[in-house]
Amino acid sequence: MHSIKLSLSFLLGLSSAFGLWYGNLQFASNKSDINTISHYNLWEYRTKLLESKVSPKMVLCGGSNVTFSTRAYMIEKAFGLPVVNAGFNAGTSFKFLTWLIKPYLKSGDILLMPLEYNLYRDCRRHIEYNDRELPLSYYPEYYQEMDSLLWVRTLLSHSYRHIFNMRMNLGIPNHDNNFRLLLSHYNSNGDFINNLRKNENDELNAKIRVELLKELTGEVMITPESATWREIEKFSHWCKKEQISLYFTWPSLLENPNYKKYSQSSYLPSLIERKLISMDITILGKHENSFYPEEYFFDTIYHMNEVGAAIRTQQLIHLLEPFLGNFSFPNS
Amino acid sequence: MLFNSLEFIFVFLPVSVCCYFFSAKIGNDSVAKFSLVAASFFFYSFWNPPYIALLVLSISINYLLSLLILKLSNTTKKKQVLILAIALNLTLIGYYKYCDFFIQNINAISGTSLSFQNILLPLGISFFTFQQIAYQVDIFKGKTNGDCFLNYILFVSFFPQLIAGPIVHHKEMMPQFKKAIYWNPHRLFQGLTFFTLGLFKKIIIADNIAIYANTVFDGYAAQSSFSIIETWVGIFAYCFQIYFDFSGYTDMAIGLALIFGIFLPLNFNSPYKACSIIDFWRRWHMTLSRFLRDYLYIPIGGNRKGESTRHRNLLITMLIGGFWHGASWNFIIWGGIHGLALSINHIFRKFVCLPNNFLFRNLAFGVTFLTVSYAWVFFRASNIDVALNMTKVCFGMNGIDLPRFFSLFLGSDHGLDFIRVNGAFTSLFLNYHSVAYLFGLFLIIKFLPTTSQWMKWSINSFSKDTSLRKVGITWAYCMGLIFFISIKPLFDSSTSEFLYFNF
Repeated sequence: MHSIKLSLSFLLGLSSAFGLWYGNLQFASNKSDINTISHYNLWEYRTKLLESKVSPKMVLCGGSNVTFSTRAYMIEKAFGLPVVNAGFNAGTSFKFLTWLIKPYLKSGDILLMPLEYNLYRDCRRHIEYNDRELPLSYYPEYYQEMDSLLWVRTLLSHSYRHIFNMRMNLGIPNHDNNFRLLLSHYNSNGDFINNLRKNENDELNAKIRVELLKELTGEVMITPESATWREIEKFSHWCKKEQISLYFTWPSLLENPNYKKYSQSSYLPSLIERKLISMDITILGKHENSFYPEEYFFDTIYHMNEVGAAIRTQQLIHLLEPFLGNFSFPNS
Repeated sequence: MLFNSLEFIFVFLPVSVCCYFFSAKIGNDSVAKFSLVAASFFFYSFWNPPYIALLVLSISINYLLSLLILKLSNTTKKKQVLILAIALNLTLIGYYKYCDFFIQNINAISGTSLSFQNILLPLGISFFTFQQIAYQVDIFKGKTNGDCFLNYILFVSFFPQLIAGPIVHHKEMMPQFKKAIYWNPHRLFQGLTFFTLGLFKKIIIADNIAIYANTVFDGYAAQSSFSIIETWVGIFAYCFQIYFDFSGYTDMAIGLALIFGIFLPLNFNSPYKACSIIDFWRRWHMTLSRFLRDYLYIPIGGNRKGESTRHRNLLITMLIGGFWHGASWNFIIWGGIHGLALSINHIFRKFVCLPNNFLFRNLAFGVTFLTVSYAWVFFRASNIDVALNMTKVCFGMNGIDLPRFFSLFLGSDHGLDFIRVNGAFTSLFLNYHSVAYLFGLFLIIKFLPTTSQWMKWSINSFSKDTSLRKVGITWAYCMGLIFFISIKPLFDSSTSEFLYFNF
């Protein structure tokens, strides 16, 4: 009898903790935090641009390095085809990112993906911020397409801290006005323009010490067996089937003298290169040519300012030329 | 398979517990033990299936040799077989664990270019080898008359202690394996309490503090520089990480064994509360200390031949103890630091008699804690250069970086070249919050009881198992809460290994 009471108490404790978490999750599911709202609004803006451009078009897709460090309008001018900057956020997974972009890709389109290194993380082991927050509030259908085990994991990955933060961030005043102000920095290609800031916080130097070196050396769980490779392969097959040209390239990255000193720092780039080649995916350029000096960045190791973005885009145009240079586009 | 993985908690453990007690009920105890052995082999093979053959081979050969020692009546021949058994065990561990280390050193000394073997270290090899050496020695000494093969396999392969200890002794385990198996719900809840608190220590505390330790140690390995305060934050963070990680693992192991009605020995007894290095080694990884004392320190002479021999033997024991942890000079140096500290401690005790009052007790505690913390630098650093570099910084040999508010007192032109008032923290992950977090953990370690103390777990628990604290209804409720909080992060991120799995 006593053991039944103990079992019931244990289960009651378990259910209380679960109930507290789940109740808050339900509450939070209708009321996103400010980051999630911003990401959603920005993506909505991007989708309008994607819908407005006629195919064949070129889409630049990846995390925020695409938003801040590439200029779609320059590529559009160089090749005479419509180009959309669909940079999103690196705090997501490759799987979710491609799930978002797929509906806007049509036959004949060209997709260029300068993915941040952490987007190659194992998507079954790491559930990223936006994979949790955005589907909860705005894209519940993403959960429905997941296999059930991953769905349970993703749902349970909403920690108490996240939910608490979501509740604390509610009702940020003037959010709409702030967002309208933010949108004024974007041009009709989706580029974040007139950004003349330069290395504006100390974090830039601190971050490069460990964060990126860890990514490049593969310490952030990017292995040859990562589930993300399978997702990339599946997506590549889908692109071939839909007659979409898929290109990968390296993200813009802050130069760090330690990369050369630390021999392991080429581990991840060479793994990516090897994997993509084995999947018959074209990867433009070399990773060591995508490092840029500090003066071209403004807040993080991936975010370039106006000058940096122009230089970086010119380099991309140069890399794209062999593939697009002789192509005659119907809109040009 | 890791104790802190979802497949272990929700699939492997319930299935193996059900099979064990169900087979004891419908079959007999041997069937139940057989099911536990099968579960243990499955647990081990989950990591790397081919290495299960190594474990089986090691167990079989050791058992056969132990039978041979028992059968022989001639002491010289017995001794020869014992030496053979020990040599085989040491060869096994030497090949799998130390081969590349020896090659590296031979290459460095002789200028040869022998190629590395790159052998994958079999999990738990250091633990099951030591256990079996102890068994052979005790068979030789006549301290045991041998056991049946099934009990022996279970003694070595029992999954809660197979990978990272505690290093169990046959005299603790064999009598328990001979007892009748029966289902005891109190044991289940006591075991769950240990397991849950261990899981909490690992997932919520150790894994969260790892970021501070990794930032500093990996940063140094990547040739970054840190201030003196950041370096000490990294050192203390690792000091707490390894304690919560390893004691969390031990709590989980004790809890798991208890669910099966088996008592494992105590392995931690508030080590960071120690007021001397001697005391520290009576509290830290107690089963390893016991093994080193009984099967190394005493056989090589202990303190029987005077003070100088004692110090020599202490140093040898600790150097080997350090080397046992890993094939690297770092571990040997770590062992050497502890060996020296133990010798100094013995000398100090002999010649200086300090008053046993609050002030001196805390002074002794502080000195011990700092010595132990500093020694971890060699244990964690990726190589000796990194450890020496950190040593320079943490003792102020590269200057002292003070928080900016010190400029109010020192002024901008204070004339002291080695003091820089440009901020104590330069890394993104280290700040005053990390210091506050570490201080909170320090208070927990200093003032709260360990899981074993709270559960009234003692050395008598083997014989008088009624002394354990009974789990009440309120506590069962709290365990349910803590269990959910502890397992939730497992859904969020990948499972992290226990630090002691590397040894």
